[in-house]
Amino acid sequence: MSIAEFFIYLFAFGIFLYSVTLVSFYILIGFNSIGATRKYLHKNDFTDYRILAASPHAPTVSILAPAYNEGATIVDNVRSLLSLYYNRLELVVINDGSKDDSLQRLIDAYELEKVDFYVNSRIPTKEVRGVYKTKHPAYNKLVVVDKENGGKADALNVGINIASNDYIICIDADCILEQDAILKMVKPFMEEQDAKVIASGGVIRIANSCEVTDGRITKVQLPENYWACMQALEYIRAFLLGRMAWARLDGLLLISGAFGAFDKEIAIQCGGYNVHTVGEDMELVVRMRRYMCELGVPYKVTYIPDPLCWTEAPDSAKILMRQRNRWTRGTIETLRLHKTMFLNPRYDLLGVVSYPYWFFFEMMAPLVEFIGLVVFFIMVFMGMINWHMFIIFLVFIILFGYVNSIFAIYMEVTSYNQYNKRKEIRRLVLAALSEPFLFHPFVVWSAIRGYIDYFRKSKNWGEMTRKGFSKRPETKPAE
Amino acid sequence: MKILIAEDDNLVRKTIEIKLSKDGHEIISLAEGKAAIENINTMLPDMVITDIMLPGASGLEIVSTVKNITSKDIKVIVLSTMGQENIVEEAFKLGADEYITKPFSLTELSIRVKKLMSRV
Amino acid sequence: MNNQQYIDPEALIIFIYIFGGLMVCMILLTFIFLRARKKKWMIKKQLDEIFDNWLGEWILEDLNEDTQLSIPPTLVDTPGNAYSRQYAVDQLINTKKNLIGIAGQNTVWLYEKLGLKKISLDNFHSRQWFLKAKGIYELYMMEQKDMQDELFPYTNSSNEYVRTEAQTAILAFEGFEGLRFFNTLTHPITNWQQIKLMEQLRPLDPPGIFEDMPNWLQSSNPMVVQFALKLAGEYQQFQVLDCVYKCLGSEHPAIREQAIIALVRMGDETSASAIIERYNNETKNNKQTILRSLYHVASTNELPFLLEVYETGDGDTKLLAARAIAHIGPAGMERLAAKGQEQPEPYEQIYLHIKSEIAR
Repeated sequence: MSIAEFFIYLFAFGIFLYSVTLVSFYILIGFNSIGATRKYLHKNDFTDYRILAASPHAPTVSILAPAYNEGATIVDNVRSLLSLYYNRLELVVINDGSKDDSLQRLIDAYELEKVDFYVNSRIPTKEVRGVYKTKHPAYNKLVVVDKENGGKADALNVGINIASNDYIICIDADCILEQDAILKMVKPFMEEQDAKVIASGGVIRIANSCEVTDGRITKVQLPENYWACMQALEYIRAFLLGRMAWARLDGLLLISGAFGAFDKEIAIQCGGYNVHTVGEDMELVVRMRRYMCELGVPYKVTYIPDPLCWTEAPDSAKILMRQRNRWTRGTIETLRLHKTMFLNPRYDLLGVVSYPYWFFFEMMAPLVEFIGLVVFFIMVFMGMINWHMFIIFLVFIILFGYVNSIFAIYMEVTSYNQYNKRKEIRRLVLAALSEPFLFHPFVVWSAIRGYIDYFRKSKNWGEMTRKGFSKRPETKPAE
Repeated sequence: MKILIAEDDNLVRKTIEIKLSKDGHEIISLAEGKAAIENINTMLPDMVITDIMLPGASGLEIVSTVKNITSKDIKVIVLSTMGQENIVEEAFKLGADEYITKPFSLTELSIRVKKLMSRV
Repeated sequence: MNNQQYIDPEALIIFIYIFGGLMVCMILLTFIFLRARKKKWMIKKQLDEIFDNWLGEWILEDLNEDTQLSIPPTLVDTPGNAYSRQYAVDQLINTKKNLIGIAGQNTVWLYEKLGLKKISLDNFHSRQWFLKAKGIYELYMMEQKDMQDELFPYTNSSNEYVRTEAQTAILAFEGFEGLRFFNTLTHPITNWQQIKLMEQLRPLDPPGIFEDMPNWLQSSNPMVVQFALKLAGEYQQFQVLDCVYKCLGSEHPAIREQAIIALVRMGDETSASAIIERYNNETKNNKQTILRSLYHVASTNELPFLLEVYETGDGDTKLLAARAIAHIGPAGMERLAAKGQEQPEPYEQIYLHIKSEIAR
């Protein structure tokens, strides 16, 4: 056996070991998800959330909604946020130096006036140009902040500085929240016993093709568009299986930027959102967890599986590719920033399981697959492939992926059943079957592009500071 | 008398409808806030009964819409699970004529409607 | 890939068959489930119609023992009707939640006439925690007072959900008397449950004096102490003032926080100075609570303390102190204005902030 052959065997063995570990993780996630989902649904059966909406003993909450060039929709979006059920609420809309007339439209619609405001800048940010409030009693929960452009993370940091309440809920201004969204997100903080609840994550669902009237989803439908439909499947898998299971194991590393609740004080003590990464949502959760671990205070990150937040998903290959490119960079940046946690028992489960899982199976997966493909071609070229074995192995992996997807569909149907027509389920199953041949290679390729951009960027670091943020959801639902 | 009801709970809406139409009123009922505001502006009912926690637009917004209509004196009854002083106060500040907390009695609602109507 | 050294292709093929089989089974199950759900939906629709008719017919009538009710076939007590009967219970509970007076009474009447209590009892006697909790919930929503003694022991059940529903049930049956379950409670009572109970008590007439209050305030269960402090403040239990003062020195920050709030609500002439005394040794959160509480009771006596905090505290603290100072009256406002002139950064902006807050 030549040295080249030896390395190739070694590599093949590595791939095999990798697959086996991944498969085991998926099985673990699947089983955990069943238990956690059942328990949650049973619990919800007799919970009356309305009590919390009105109680003077309920915790105070600030919603932070950053907006950049959203003039066309901002007034309606704010109106629909103002109608959410919660008494002790403040809605902070942050205009991140929009170039359009967003601010003026808000001022006109809500009779806003500039007020004297002391901004206690515990997190350093770009300059705040003004704070606006209204005397109109129906809108007294609204605070609008005008600031210089600095990107989403910076806008959220301004929001954190200005928020006067104990808990913050960060959302994208253009997402559609269910009426009881706040109540459900706040409840875990109220249920804390021995461990301090520092954050609570929510589910994002895809609003493409749904019927929306007056800022409210009136009929849920599976997206017609192939890309959006694939993402619907992906989100079901990620939120119903992945996050649910990780939350149960208390190893959740990511709360979607489009919808998450945090303990404000802890978020500030950690320094708020990191403005130097494109994955600020994940980075904050990792940093908050790390902070609590280092303090040695028992803590918890919870997760609410109810579909509470709806958002438009990218429906063209181009935008989707950009999004996945960014997610990949965000993941690499976050994991790199916190590399000391890798297999570090000081961070308990987080260091020993969650972080390595993300490292090997989220961050490395596209790379491994890509290299695998390259090696495969080399082997074909060198005539080293045992085709019989190869096909068996390929079918095995593809079928396992199918089992996982179909299990996710089954879980969705038996729990929330948002897509309840047989036609829709048939389409979801077909989407799952097409995934290994169409969507998955596309996602892998987007991620590879992300890697390329990441390495290019770190060479000329400093030149590339990101300004503004796309109106598209930038929410990573990875499992 | 024309009464508009804005209430998202089907059951509550239906029972009020039943009770008030038995009393001889004409009822328009809606489950959504923004549609209610539009209907108030076009139909100019004699009275509006609204919940506070409504999808689309909050009940408080409905109260202020009604009270901004100058061409007609439209009465407003707020019907809500929230009985805390500050919320009640806010509703009255916006111009609500009555505030009824849930759970409520249909008989009481009917009496209050009658009383308000006799003031018109 | 040439893997035969370490994996057996036969094993993989077996797995492929297993996966294939699993897939087909899960797809079948999914569609069977969808079908069952559709059937349930039809039942619901049918029942909704029945309920609508009943509402129209009965919701406002005086119902009594002699009123005849013909039970529709879908609600007759047969094993096949379990689902529709449970749905009927859920619907009646929703009605009961929203309506009182005759309509509320009629709901209970229907529940009893339809024999639906049997459903709730079956739930209650189930071994599964969620069914047990649901059963308890149904029984108290439908005012089945005869169950009181049987439910009481569950107020200290080891399952959180069974326990909280049982606690709510006892309060629903007995009002303030029901709080006696605190005497035996050893399990925690979360903030959520505390809020729920407080709201449940809100519409009821409180007794002048809570007899057991001293015991609760000295309970070994910190969450019972916390809740008792909330009650003491809300219902002005002056007879336990000494105990409340003692709680200021508790080892649990959450108890100290509630004691601060309770003291200020009960507001005797020494409470302000007592909590100020604690200020320097408190946690950050409790310091803020102290300042928030002083807002309500501060007079010129507390001005020196507040001004000192105003000058030495961090940004958030300054803002809270400024609010309390301003609330004292013109004297306080003058001091804030003067400080703003003396040292504009940051005091001028804080002064303006407070001024603008008061103006709206």
